[in-house]
Amino acid sequence: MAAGELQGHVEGMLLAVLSNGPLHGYGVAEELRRRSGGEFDLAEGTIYPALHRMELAGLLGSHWEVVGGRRRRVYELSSSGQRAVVDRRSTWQTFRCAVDAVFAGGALEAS
Amino acid sequence: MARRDPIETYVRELGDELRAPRRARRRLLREVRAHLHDAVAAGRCDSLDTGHAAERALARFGPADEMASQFNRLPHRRRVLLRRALVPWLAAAAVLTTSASASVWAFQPGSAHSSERQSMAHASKHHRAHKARAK
Repeated sequence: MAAGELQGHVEGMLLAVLSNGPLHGYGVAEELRRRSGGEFDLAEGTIYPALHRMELAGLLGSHWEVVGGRRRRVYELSSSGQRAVVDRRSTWQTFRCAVDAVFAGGALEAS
Repeated sequence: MARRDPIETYVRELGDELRAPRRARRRLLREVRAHLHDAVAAGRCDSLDTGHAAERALARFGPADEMASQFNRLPHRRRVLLRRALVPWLAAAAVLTTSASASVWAFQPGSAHSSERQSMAHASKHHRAHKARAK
């Protein structure tokens, strides 16, 4: 999938990946690739500005840890990050249902 | 002549493009370096030689200028923290200023409160005059 199509969903997906527990940047990129079956053609470097932005917004916390003899910055969800995952998952499901309905030619009942 | 380490070359290039305070810049470069070394190690596990593993790691990471331009658009941590610390004080100052000016305004002639008082006084005077006429 092209990077352009992923715009706007990257942060939600990073939060979802981190909802399973703390990870360092490379771990986040690996998990994203694994979960998407290698579908997302996302430059791994772009996850760092997103992680830093979400940290500034208070959705993530981070600290240095020595893993495998190398210092790595480990990220984890804050309590507002945990709430944000729930919100973004629900927004995504609503969006996905609407797009599915448009492609299928049906109509969703207005909420 | 020894070949330059492609990872270090990339990290240096990224460092040159970053416009961030020294601490933020150093942190990001450390993270990037660790990420790329992990990616090279993973490439070695996939039976790639070091050169090809570094090539794959850098290709997956994306161009340095693209990453730098995204990072350069972030507000700096110091500025965000300062804003976060100042907002409650500014809000309190705004509330105090508004309430102080509202009290001054209430006692000025021509203000709503003062007009209200004048109209009540007028009504009472009118009522007294009406009662006197009735007598």
